Amino acid sequence: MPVTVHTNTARSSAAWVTCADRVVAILCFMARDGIAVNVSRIVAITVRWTLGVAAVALVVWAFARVGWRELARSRTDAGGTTLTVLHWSGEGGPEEDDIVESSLRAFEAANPGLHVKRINPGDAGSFYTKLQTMMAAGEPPDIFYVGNERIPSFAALGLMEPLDRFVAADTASTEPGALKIADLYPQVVDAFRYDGLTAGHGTLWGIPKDFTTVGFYYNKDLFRKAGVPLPKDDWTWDDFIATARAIGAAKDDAGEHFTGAEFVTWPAMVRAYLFTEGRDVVGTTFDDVTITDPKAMAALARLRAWRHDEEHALTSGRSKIATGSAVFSTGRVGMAGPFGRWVVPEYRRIQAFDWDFAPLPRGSERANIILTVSWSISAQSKHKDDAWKLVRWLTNVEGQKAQARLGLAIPSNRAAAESDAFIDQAKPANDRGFLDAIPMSKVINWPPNAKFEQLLGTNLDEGLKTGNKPLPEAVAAFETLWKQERDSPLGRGGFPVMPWRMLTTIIIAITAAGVAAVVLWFRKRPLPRHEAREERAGFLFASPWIIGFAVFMAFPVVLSLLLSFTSWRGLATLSEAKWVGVGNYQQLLLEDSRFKTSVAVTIYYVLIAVPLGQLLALGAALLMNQKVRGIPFFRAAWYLPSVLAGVGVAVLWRWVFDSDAGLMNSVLAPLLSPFGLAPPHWFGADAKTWGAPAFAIMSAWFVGGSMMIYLAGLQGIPDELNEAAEVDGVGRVRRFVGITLPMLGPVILFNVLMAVIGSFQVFTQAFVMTGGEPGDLTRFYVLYLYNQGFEYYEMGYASAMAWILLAVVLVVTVVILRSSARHIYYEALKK
Amino acid sequence: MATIELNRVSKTYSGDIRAVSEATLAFRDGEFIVLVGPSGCGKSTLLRMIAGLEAITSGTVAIGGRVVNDLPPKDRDVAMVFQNYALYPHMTVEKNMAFGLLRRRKHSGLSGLLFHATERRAELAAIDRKVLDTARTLGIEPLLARLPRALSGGQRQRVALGRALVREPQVFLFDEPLSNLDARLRIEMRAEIRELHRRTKASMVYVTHDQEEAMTLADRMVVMKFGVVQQFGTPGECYARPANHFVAGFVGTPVMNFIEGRVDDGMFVSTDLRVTLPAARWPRMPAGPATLGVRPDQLRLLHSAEAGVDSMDSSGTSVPATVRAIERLGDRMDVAVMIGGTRLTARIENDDRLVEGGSVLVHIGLGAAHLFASGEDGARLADAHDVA
Amino acid sequence: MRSRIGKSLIYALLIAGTVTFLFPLWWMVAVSLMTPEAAQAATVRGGLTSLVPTDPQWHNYPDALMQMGSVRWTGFLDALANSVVVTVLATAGTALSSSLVGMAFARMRFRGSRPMFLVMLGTMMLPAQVTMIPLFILFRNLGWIDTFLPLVVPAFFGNAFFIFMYRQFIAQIPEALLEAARLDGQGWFGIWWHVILPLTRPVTAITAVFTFIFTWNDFLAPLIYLQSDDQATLSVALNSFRNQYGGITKVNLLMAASLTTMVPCILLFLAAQKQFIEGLGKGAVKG
Repeated sequence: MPVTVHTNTARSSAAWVTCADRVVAILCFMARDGIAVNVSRIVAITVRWTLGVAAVALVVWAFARVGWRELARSRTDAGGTTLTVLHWSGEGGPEEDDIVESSLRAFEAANPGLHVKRINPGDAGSFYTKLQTMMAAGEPPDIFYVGNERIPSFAALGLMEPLDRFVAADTASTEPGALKIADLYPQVVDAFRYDGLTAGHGTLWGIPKDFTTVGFYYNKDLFRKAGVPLPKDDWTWDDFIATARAIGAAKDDAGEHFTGAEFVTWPAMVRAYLFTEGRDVVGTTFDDVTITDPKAMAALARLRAWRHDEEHALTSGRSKIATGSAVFSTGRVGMAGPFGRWVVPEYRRIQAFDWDFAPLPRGSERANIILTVSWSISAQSKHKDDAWKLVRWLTNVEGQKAQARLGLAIPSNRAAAESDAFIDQAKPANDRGFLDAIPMSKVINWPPNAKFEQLLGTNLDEGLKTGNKPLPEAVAAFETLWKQERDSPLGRGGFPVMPWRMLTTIIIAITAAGVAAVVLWFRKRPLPRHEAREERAGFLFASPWIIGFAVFMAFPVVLSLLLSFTSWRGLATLSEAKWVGVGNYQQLLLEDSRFKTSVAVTIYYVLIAVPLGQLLALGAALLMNQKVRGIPFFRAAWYLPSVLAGVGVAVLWRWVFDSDAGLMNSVLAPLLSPFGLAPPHWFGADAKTWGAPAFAIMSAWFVGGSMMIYLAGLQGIPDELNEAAEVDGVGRVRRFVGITLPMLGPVILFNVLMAVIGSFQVFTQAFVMTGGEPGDLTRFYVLYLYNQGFEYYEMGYASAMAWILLAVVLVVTVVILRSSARHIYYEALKK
Repeated sequence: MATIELNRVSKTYSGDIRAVSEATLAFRDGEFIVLVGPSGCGKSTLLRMIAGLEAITSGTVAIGGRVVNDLPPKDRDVAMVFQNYALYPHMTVEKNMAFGLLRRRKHSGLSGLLFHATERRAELAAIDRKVLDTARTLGIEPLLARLPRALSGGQRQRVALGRALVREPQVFLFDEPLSNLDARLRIEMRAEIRELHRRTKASMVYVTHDQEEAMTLADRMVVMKFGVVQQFGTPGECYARPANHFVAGFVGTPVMNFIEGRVDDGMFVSTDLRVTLPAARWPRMPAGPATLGVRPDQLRLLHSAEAGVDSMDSSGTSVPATVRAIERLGDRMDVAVMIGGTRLTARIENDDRLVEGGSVLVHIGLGAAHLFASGEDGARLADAHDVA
Repeated sequence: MRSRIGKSLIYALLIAGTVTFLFPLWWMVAVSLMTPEAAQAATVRGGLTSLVPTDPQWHNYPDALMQMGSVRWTGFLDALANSVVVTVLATAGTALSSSLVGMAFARMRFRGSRPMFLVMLGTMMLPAQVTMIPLFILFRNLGWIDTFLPLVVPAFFGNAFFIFMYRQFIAQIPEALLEAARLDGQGWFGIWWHVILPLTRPVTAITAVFTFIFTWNDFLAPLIYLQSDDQATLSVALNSFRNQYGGITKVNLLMAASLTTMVPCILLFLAAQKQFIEGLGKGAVKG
């Protein structure tokens, strides 16, 4: 507060004055003392006090609410069995969340003694991260969602309970609520069968909660405008492209072309496309790559030609907005797909035009794919029978109808699917189209190795989507990489189990010996009492860090170092880890070409982002150091972006760098066009050159922190120095180079080091914005590390990567420190 | 109020750097002691050992008869005034002064707040009163509500003084408290500190590198060099009977004239002059190298007209010389003269007849002169006065 | 004496920068006030046209907050309370412990302090992903899963970055000030409380603001450690606006919810920014 109360009566009484009284007291004080009662100042004080009181109230309320809840929880911790359920809310968003919630409450009501704890991390990515951490810690949920593409890898790791015995028992049982597997579409159920080699038959690992087949959504208004007939159920690819061309030829009132179709090139969709030509990318055992088959290549070449050799027929993948499904909503694209049912809730909000659904066109044969999600039971669940009860509850007709009404899911239960819960009045009119595709649908076979999908995806991206590699080259790259992956020494397996017990003993012994040595060393060299006292206090004060380091740093770090010598699927418990020696490091440094790409991309980013960011921050600080009015406002404004974070910000940035509609290009285009240049497709065709710089440009918005530190450094430079130089007639530039920069030396060093360390670890932006795509062109080091650890579950490999990163950053830091030692004038840091 | 006894106190820093060696000193109760010497002589280290800010390598320090080696500063009941004032920048002058007292209250903790509210309030009131009284004596009462950054150097010094005073400690320690002030203020504050001592009768230990400050303030002073105590005595003793060459040179302005030479058969002989040593003062001086020390005010400059031209006579105390430089001080002047290659400084009454480059006769008075063993640290050679 | 042209140039730069830097916020505000259709169109083909909402839909804000979590409003209120509790505790813990440790490294002589300090600096280079799984295993064995403890307790053991900042700052405080406090009867703890803490307020402001913003926005840790629906923090609750395929179904509501959750960070920054700068500047420390 601006007023200092220093008389002794005021001091003792002030404590009892309430906040409101105090405000009044201060106002009176100002008035009485003849201070010009400045209105803006009163407003400022009032605002500050209001905010302060509100903040305190908020904190008190929050603690009370949380405290009360925890108390209540500890009291109502009743007996009975608790089942943990992990799911995501998918496209259904909060509504799907509500449905699962109410279904679970109904289950609890129907089954006294059973409690259900529900965990919903939101999107599927967060879901799998969460599932992995729970699995790795040996505390998996009892039942959880599994996408059918993950069934082989989860089954290979023994994470799920086989359900055949439950199904058999229920089929024989007359108990109400028993699950009759025959009520479900057999093709959908088969998606959760896996015999250890191929999907589609063998052991049953999950009960499908819903499913979808795929096709194209089309804009009826545009069809009418272009004068093309609406698609029939057995339309062909020739029909498809002819329609797309016709729509692409049409123009809107402003004379701008429409686009024929958006064709997403996700691995699953490309495989579905190949199915219609009777081909696939690999044989059933995944040992033989069949994508090079002439017919398959011809089909892919055709798709590539549509995208890249024709104007307006297909979007050329330049519009990377969210899922790609969103472009349809603009009304400027004739068809979009192949998508499943999941886009329906989103498209139902479209009011500007009429639309419908058509199944996948046919090639040499009619084909489709089934994408589905199951409820599965954890192999480690302690209440498997109760878990089964819950699974069949969640997949019964009523539950499925409720989900179907959202429009998002197709019930796997035939009766529910045929009911008016699914075949309803709402769009799309062609609900039947989804169901009719079932008989000709295949289950896509995925190998247990999750890298397969990403290798396929990244290479298809380059061959089909961005087109920056000729198709044969991209396909050959996929073939080589996948072969490499299968043949790598690590992939062959046969490693001994990690001797945890022995290692633990050794580490404990070493630690104990180390501690003992230190203690002895200290004992041997006693200090005079004075210094001993200071030393004790020193250790006491540093103890938070020392303890925290030992527990929250040293332990995890040592464990991760050990893990870097193992092959450990992060989904299994630690005891499953296998000792591979330096195998991970060998593979990384000698074999893994994606690792090399990620290193190159990261270094590229560091080299751009650090100088750009630091120059900008220093420039901004110099500007903020000027003595002009309104600086506090500008300072706050420039810093503000650094305060913002979260999902919303990620969406924002994706939009800024969007090639077609983004702000960046909207601004750049008119600036560049006089020079005959066009702005780059940041995360599209030009990603190789402009992907990493886009992230660097984005990071420039977050220079606020560095700017503040530079500003503090600038303000710490004594005025006399500059004044003395000014008197000596030294020019502005020379003063900056000769005085300001050297005095700022330590601050620059600090900021540069922090920026280098931070830039090497760049992750979040790429994770939420591009996911490393297109291809691997924005797959930064830590993102690749994350992919390895949390998507392919190669925790050992990821740990090795982390250690290599640590080593590199350490070396770079030391080099910077060494080379700067001569140029840094440390006076500013000393007292 | 307490005595301070130092018994063979040494301070060694790592790397065998000896800051203080074997200092044995006893300060009486209520005495104003000044530790003086050139920078790096160990005087501050000695002070900080008394304060408890510096560990004592060996020896003992006793305050009021109690050995305090292992007591932390807060238990030694000493207060210190620092060279840079060391005022807490975030506290008002009032808080700065009260800070040390607040800590020493009986009812300072939570129990005081809860169960002894009355006593607590009484304590606080007593502190307020004390701070106010002290502030009044120092004339800083109007500054009480200000922050240190709003004070001038002199005001800050007063506050620092007040902060020490208000504590009423057994011992006051001053670490070059006036060296950041300008000359006029320094003299003013010097008088004030002296007056404070007279009033409080407290034991004070004061560190300075300024011998003039030491002479004016001290009851007794400790002259130090390279960590070793050179002389401990009253300013008068140190001036009149310096223990050695170093003390003689350090105490008194202008600096004493030293002439290197030898004693030979009752004569002091240097390259440029021969002086007969009065046998009454230095009976039976053994022959050998020695240094003659003469204070500038013991030199008289005579004009040739007065003394007659007798340049060959060097057995007496008058020697011909050339005037090299004249510094006028107002009522008096310092004159540098050259006797051959020997440069001497004389402080004399104003004499307008002297011109730079002119020649004069220098009369060297031996009444207050000293003979030292040769070398920088040569001890004063005993004379008849010492026996008496 | 600065020329008028120079001054105009400075203002031009300041204003241009401000427009650039404030733009993200403005766009979020604009989208948050759009109808779902307009919002979707804006993210797909907006260009510069989508910056002004023609028909502000203020009800988007209550709608968005209402939809967080599974029970109307409760989800939002729970998440808000959780975020406040976690953030306040983590912020207080980080500031307290970091300043204590910073003082130890800056001012106290104890054997091993230098190597320890270097190790501490080294820990800043460790990517968080390395320790994620081992930490989860640790917290699970401590029985801390589905409590706030994994989010809060580590904060009380200091953070390398802030310890470093405190250390640098505390090292600049004149020694005499600490000695004066010792003579005034303070022990190490008293010096820390009465002298170091008040004098390092700017660092504390920075620490508090940075930690607050980081903890408030942190997504991964709450995602991993918290399980029950009513334990979720705001950043996790916000994620319910994302769907399975990473797309956004209700961009307008997402923006409204995002903005609302950012308000505390913005206010805190505005409140602390004076401390930030004035303190870090000259004079504050030098008596």
